[in-house]
Amino acid sequence: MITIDSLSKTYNTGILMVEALKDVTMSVEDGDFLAVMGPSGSGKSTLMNILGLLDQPTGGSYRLDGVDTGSLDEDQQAALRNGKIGFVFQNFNLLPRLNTQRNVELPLVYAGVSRGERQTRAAAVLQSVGLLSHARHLPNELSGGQKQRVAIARAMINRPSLLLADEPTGNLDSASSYEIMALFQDLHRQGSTIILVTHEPEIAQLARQIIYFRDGRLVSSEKVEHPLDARDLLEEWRQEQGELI
Amino acid sequence: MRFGEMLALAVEGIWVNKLRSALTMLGMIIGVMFVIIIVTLGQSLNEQVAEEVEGMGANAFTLLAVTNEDGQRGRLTLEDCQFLETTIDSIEFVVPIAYANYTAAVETSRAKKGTTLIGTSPDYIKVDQMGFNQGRFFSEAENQVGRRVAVISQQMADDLFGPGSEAVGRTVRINRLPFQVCGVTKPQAALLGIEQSTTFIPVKTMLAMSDDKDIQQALARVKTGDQLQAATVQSVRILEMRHAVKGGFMTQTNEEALEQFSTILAVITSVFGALAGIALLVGGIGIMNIMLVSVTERTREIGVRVALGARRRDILTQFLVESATLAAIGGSLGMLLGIGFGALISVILEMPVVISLGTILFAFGFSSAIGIIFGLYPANRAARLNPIDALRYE
Ligand SMILES: Nc1ncnc2c1ncn2[C@@H]1O[C@H](COP(=O)(O)OP(=O)(O)OP(=O)(O)O)[C@@H](O)[C@H]1O
Ligand SMILES: [Mg+2]
Repeated sequence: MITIDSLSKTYNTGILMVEALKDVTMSVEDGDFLAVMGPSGSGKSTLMNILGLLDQPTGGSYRLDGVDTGSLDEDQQAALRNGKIGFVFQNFNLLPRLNTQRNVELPLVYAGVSRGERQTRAAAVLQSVGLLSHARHLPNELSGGQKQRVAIARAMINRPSLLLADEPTGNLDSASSYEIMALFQDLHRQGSTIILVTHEPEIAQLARQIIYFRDGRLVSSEKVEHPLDARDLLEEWRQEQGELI
Repeated sequence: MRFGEMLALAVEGIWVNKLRSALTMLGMIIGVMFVIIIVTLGQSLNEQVAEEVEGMGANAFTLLAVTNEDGQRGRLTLEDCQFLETTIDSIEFVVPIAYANYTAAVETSRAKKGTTLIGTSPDYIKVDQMGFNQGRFFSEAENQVGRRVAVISQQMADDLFGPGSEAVGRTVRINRLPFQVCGVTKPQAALLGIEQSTTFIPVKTMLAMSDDKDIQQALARVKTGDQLQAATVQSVRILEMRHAVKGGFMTQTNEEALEQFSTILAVITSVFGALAGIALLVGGIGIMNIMLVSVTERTREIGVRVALGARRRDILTQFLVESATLAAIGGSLGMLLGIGFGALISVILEMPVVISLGTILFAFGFSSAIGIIFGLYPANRAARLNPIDALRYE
């Protein structure tokens, strides 16, 4: 699905050049579930932005499903962001003026889907993240975990094959984090390719493979031998909380 | 994204910031309102004058005595009118007009009023058609013998004898001399709302009231329009001979008068129009300003939309539609106010109310265009935003 070859990204801040990514070569297969780890400033977000076609590399190549993304024009890139890629952010990035349903519908608006069909499909994804009852709520009427579920519903609605999540649980408590991870695991089971950035080893253990970055380089990659089930962790956590009380 | 949805989105955005949007629109509202008022009044005034000229007959012209280059002044007398009427075949009749260059006093035991006093001949009603509520215009016989009869306006009759009173046959004093009222005219469309309280008396009577034997103007009518030009030239030549003053006479056809008026009106309209245009410009800059603020405020929203698949074009149109909608709503409100005030002023000034579809469409199109032009820069700025920076914007 993804092939990147000697990828590099240099930010020119005027005074100094920051090499955010240095000579990164890797590939991701269809149906992979990848956790990206590494210290702050190691280039994880930079990689995600390039993979999500929000940013361009300064060197090397990025092929998505066999297409060299460097040769695409802006409209073609927009079409890929709209149809093939789903993006989930650490800070949710829901539009504050739109209610849950209309936030979820957004990618379909740019895909030119009719209002009626948008509503049906929004209802379906909201159902799958368990928030159909909150369709009319505004973002500021939702908890952090609920907001992130809405964001995932929005990322999923156009049935993208690639789901990119940059620290999706970074702003959430444990319970909400497990709930979000359970959703990702469901999506993975249904065939989606998922790449998520996290600082928490426990979260990374819920993926199938972990890659490590340091100073803009991909330093190691390991397979998760015994992937855990997020729902089990959630259950365990709840019991612990119960014992504490 | 479909246009209808863009529009709905824009209206939503405008509605969320009601106060801000209203203040922004104010410039457009005022600008468009003034444009509409000015154009409406201009058209209305033109219409009224055209009607008036029409009423006088297109075949009429005015004769005036003027001072020539050597400082000699031409004269006009009753005999001149008579002479022109009989010697020039194409001329149907010549109406003498003598007026006092002061406001004459008309009084009864009940009231005293000022009036414009005009001495003329019965032919006058052929060039200035007027209706009568009571009585009639004075006759040629009354004019010939210089009888003291007067035609007064309805307003004057009400003031002098009390509303609804019979006035014909009763006596009024004009400049202390007793006159018998022979007719009461219907109120005429007053030019610019100036109530024309004109009193007509026979020209012979008028001249007898003072030592002056001259009249100030003469109105001549030719039988057919194609004779007009020749008749004016002929009249001037004859008058110059009769009084031996070269260049002491001037003519003006009603067409010329109308043209002159239209030219003056066009100049006035364009001056005020330009001022209103500046108001519109300021309105446009206000819109640009608020759109720039809006783009900055919604930087993150723009980033999110791009991340979800919006093309630069989608972002550009979203903001353009929003600024055009803002301007068009402002323009429409201004148009409604302009039509309202324009009509109100027309009614108050007793002018015909003219509302042209062209003006309405122009105001709407023009304000939308202003919205698009002044929205272009902010919208372009939004569309050029780097999505990464936009998403990171706090
Ligand atoms: N727009 C930018 N301009 C200049 N330098 C940048 C820019 N974005 C990122 N960098 C630099 O690139 C490097 C990598 O940043 P990146 O955001 O990819 O790190 P990260 O691994 O996501 O860190 P964190 O875990 O804190 O999110 C950092 O040194 C950062 O300062
Ligand atoms: Mg990061």
